[in-house]
Amino acid sequence: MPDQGDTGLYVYGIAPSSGPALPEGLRGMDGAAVDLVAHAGLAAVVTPIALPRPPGRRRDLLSHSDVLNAVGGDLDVVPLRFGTVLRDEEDVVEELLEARWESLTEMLDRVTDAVQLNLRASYVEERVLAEVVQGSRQIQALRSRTRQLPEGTPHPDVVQLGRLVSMALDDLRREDSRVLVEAVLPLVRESRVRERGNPDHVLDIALLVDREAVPVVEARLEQVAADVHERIRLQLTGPLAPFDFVDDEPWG
Amino acid sequence: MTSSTLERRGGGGGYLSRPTPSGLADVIETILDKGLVIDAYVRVSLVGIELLTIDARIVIASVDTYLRFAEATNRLDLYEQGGKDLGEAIGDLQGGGAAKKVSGAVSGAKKALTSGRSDDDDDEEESPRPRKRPASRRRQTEDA
Repeated sequence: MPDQGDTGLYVYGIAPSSGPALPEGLRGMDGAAVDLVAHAGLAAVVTPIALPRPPGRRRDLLSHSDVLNAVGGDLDVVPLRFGTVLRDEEDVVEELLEARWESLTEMLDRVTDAVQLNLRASYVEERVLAEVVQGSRQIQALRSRTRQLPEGTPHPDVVQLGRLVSMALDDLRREDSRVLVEAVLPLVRESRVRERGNPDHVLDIALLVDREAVPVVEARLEQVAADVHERIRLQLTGPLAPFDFVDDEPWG
Repeated sequence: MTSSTLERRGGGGGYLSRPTPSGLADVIETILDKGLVIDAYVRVSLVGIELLTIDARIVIASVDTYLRFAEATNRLDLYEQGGKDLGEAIGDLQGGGAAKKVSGAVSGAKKALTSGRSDDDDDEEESPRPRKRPASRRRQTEDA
């Protein structure tokens, strides 16, 4: 039911209406001032938006992310999926805050006083490939057989070499990610492994961390990063709004 | 080794890198497909917004990947021997090697999701790799 020549309310997320105030001067999509629509202890974080609207643009996506991360710094917030627009305040109250009051309240409870940190671990590729080669005679043999072939030759030995290297990396990854996860899990409230396809990938995990525990997690990870830096690079992003810790199921 | 004074951003001095997600690729990776979904019956659709809900994460598991691994491994050979092609081999691994090609494919897909908009900027680079350190052979893995 797309609208014509009208305005709507873009909804970024849901916060408790009793929480701290919004960050001062916070602006969202199209530079509009971010506002709250409150009802029964819940507050939708919104900006007015002109409709119809061209497809999601780069700056829209950045606005969505920026507003939620700014709000999530001090307030508990349940992020909504990018691109959520309701018609007006009445719809926000009735169709969202009122109709979904119970599940929204539960979700807010889950993320109360917490923020998200994203931890990413990647291999130092040439170092880990060297480990893989040294760890397997079969790989060494295949490598000496295929060394002279021109690059890009799909010779069966080349494919087999790559397959074995890939499998060896999977084994290393399992072990390394287990060690990393064990180091950090005792310090966080919840965690979710995020999927990623890069071959130098070790682990990509979202952590739900108590606001006051953030420095502890940072210090621990700094320690771990120093320990593993020859083989693995650690990258920590955040604090972010708890994007990975709200219900993913579409409401039916 | 670690300093007790942690930098909140930028990771000055420490081994833990602390990027601020600012580029489109970072932000897509952080928020794509994340967040609570509201019933389509209730919400006013943004035309074409579904484009961005396409999963941009690509898992590559194919002969192509194996070829790239083999290539990277064979290049490593030069590196290990420490011959005069050393610099070249490192450059290849970093610039044209397997990881670069694959992540290029992924960010290419991300770019395709949002290309053609007038407000697209050029700040969509993947975060730069940290300074290279010479690989040592200290740690060895057991024969599998």
